[in-house]
Amino acid sequence: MTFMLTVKIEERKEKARKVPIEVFPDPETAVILTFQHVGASNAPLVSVGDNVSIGQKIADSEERTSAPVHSPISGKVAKIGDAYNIHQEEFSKAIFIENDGKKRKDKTLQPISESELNNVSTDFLIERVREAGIIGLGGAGFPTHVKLSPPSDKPIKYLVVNACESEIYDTSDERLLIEKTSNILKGVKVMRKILGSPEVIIATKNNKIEALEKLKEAFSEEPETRIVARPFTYQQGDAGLLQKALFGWEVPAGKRSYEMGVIVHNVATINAVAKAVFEGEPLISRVTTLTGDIEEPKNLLVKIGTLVGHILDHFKVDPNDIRKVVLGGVMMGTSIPTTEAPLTKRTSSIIVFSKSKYKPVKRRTDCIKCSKCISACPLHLHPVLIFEAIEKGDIERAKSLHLADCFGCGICSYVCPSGIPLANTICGARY
Amino acid sequence: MNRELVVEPSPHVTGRMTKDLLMKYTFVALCILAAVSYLSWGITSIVLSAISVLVAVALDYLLSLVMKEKGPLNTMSAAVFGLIVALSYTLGIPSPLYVEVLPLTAPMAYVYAAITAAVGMILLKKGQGLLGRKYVNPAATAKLLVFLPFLHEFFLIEEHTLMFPSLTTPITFSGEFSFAVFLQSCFANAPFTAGASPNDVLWTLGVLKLHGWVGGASSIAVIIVGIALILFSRGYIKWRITLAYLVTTALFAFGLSYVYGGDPLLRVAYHLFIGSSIFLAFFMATDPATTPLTGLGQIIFAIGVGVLAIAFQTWGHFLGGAILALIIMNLTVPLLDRVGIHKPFGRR
Repeated sequence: MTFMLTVKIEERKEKARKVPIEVFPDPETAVILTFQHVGASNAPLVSVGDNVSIGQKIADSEERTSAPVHSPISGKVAKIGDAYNIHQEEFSKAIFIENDGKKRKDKTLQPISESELNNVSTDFLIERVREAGIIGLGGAGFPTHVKLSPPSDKPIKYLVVNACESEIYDTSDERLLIEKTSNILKGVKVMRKILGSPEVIIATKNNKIEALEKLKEAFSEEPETRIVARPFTYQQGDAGLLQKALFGWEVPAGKRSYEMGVIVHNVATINAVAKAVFEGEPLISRVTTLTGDIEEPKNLLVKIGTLVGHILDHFKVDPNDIRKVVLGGVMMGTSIPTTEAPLTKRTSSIIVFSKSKYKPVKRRTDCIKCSKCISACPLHLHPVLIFEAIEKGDIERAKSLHLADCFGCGICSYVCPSGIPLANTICGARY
Repeated sequence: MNRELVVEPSPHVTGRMTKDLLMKYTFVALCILAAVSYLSWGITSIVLSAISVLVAVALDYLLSLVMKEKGPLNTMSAAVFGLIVALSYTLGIPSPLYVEVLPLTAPMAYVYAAITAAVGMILLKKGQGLLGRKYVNPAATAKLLVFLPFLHEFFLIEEHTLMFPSLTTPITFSGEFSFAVFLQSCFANAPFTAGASPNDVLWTLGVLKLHGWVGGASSIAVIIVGIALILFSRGYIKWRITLAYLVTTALFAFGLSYVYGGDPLLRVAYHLFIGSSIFLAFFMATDPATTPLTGLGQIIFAIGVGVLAIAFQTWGHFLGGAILALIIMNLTVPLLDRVGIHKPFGRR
């Protein structure tokens, strides 16, 4: 009966997974949101008229749970104003930089060689990760240096590399695994050093065949490393559910992974760590998948701060045919009201939905109480009951049904035959 | 470059199952069973089904105009309802006694099926809809309401034990007035005064009945179509109810045959395969709106239906008691929705 209880979602990656990463040209104007992570917000470090170079830190915070942002291009600060911030779903402070085309590089972060890795301190590496502005690039956006400094009384036994890329359509991580395998290996070595040599488990889907071959080859010499390739489901891309699949345990609600001796990092984050340490490059670009109702999907290495509209125009996506644009995955990502939104560190994909291919599949009707959302919820919550409680304004009942445990995977909305926005309503009421 | 885009909540892809599609699957399944009923009643059961569906769909349309409902019609849902009314209608002779009193043959059956569909549509589908929650199964309740004037004829009346052999005695295949003969006279055509062989009885109950619930004409067809529907609909049908009901019924009937004696096979087959049991298990007890949400709730619900149905039939002489059992258990659903709330991930 398991096939009726687990929801499987078509991956829609066939076309994009074969497309090599393409370097997208630097934008004329980069729009850098000062606040792209989860935690305390940043304040600008530059003023209008300042000249900045590539990789120069332009906004930061003194709080621990924060990550600075850097200029992706060299040029002049033209404006400090508002731009659409997808993570807050409203306009927020951004630094507008005009490209001078000189490609001047900031030299603050000095690269080290692989042989030097053994001689540098853990603190140096953690500081480097922070100064490079690295955050969880799988979409969570939690500052990586915080995750890499668990309390000293909680030894880390396992470093899990989350290479499942379970979001529908997205292939940016898969391309990184194929093309930047050596970087992933180097990043893992850095993280291993920081965390005190835990065992490494690389979890990936067994249908990423090319990636799997590259990983096996690259990691063949790496001690205490296991590559686990299984038909992981979309839901198992979540750190908690992935641990259940790998180790069989359930991270107790309200506890973080490190309390189980586990740290889970996404491959793109690990790639960024390798670049920061060995190339001295802060997080100023990322790989993102341009896909959806698009003839030729792309995997693009894009400078953060490039406007989504600029990318769409570059590839001549018919502006009059765009119905909706979603950033960061169709299941958990957000649709943007304007293409003037800049790309952020967390934008793993740009998915375009066209007007011409649009067909309304579900209309909203009353709940028929089929209970599919209950059997489908990977956390064994009761979405329909929580939803009813929220609709009635009975937030106490919603809380007693563990509303706050929901991580917004969207499965309940996906399966609902009545088109009820369960996930969205539940997520909206979480805090 | 700035363009206005559509903003919608995530997820931005969706599964293909919709309420309409689920209703279409169910309708197709029910149509197959209606077609099977042709083997037993010929054109009569087909006409009965058509009338019932037409009444339900037409009333759905008219009522939506009267009630000024917004949005598209639920035509598929109305059609499914109409077909369930027809398939839960009793055609022919459930017991030789009732044939004089009850509207069991055409043309009166057409009239009563139409009345049942109308009552169900107005009072139970639209009426309950206004309450914001469906409390009882519309088709089952409509049938009970319409047949209420006749109910004293076949419910809890002492003298009818003459015609309806008591289930509190040993029930056997052999003998002139055995339970097997009674069953054959209820569900098959020829008189079986000389006794009925186990094979005859099991064929009637399992493969083809000539009288009784239209939808239950062939138990084997109901089971095949029912399982196919569950598989096709990929878990959107509450299969736990069907399973738990069938298991409960079989076990309880088996237990009773030890208490009262007789042939266990006959008693189990009787309680499982009469139309009101097998058709109800697959197509009425699983109605999503009037059944519990949680898995445990569904199982308790199904056990309740099974136990009550057998109780009504055994001690109440109510042939087809499952319908009343279903309605009673429907009423407990708001309570059952509070049990079986399982602990979520990471809290077990």
